[in-house]
Amino acid sequence: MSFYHKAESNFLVTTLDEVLNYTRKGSLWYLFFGLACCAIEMMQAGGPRTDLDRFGVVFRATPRQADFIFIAGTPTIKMADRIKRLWDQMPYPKYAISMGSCSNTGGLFQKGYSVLNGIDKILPIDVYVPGCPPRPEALTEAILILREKVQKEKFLRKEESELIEEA
Amino acid sequence: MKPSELLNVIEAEFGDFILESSDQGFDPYIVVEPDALRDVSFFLRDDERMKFDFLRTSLGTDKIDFIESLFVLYSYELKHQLIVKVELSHKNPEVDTVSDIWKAANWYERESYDLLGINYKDHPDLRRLMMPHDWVGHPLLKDYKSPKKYHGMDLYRFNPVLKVTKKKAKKKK
Ligand code: SF4
Repeated sequence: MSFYHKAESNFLVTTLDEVLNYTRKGSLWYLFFGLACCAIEMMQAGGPRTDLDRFGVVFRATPRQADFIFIAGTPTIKMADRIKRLWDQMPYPKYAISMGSCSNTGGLFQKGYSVLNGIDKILPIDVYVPGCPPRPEALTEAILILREKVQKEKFLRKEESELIEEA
Repeated sequence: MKPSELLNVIEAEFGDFILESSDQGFDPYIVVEPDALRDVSFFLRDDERMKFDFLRTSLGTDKIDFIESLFVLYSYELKHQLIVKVELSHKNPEVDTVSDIWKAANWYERESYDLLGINYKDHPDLRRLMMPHDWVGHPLLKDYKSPKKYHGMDLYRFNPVLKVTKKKAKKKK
């Protein structure tokens, strides 16, 4: 992208989509949603060592200010309805990262009577992070992948109905 | 008080209602007739020799022939422990509540009701604790089958690894 190079004669040529996406990917705010042990590792990822703030990734306590949601932990059937409601409250464009085996597939509680086998039964997931729990480095990787996805998106050319269908 | 003395005192008081008792295991236990549970509980809490002022935990188990509900009691003052069990039939698992005798029993009884369907009579607030309130069935019963769907969510997940291992097992045969 022409942004990364120094513009010698004080102007540069780019597309609106790229500028928009460049700003969007620089401030991805997430809904802090810890359900079980994975949440502890997510807090680690926010700490100084794998500092998520340097990507502009800041946690929010309300879904209305969030761009994406971390599902960190074991989603139970009772919780599933609440997760769905939070997801519905998030404004478009929105993304979801599923963290850990539990939220990917049910993990080691898969046969349990109270556990939902994978959060993708109720939300569309963009990035799956394997591990039990995944290391903070893996989470950073997930965010890098999400940033790539955001950068590639032609968001302005989408109709509203398309967005709703996707989600 | 020593376990054997403890059991002797209880048996002297409620001989007919104690179906079984033992001090051979890890903790002494008594099996009480369901109708007498409240009387025995009041005795255990209030008597000078017992003083069981603390309900440590309460569990339920499906033992196939019957459903068991047990209460683990401890006395802070006299430092002894006792397990009180009741055996309930599968058809009508019903027993009086002890949640007004030991307040801690309230949520334990709700849990046993949720997972095993034990109906604690006169419980102040007998609702499900773990499962959603509109769930059907009691998951810890042996003949329980989980539903395929709940609120439009598919509760089944295909396991590709399991299929491969089954095929391999077939080939080996
Ligand atoms: S994947 Fe592992 S660490 Fe994460 S919530 Fe499940 S059991 Fe806990």
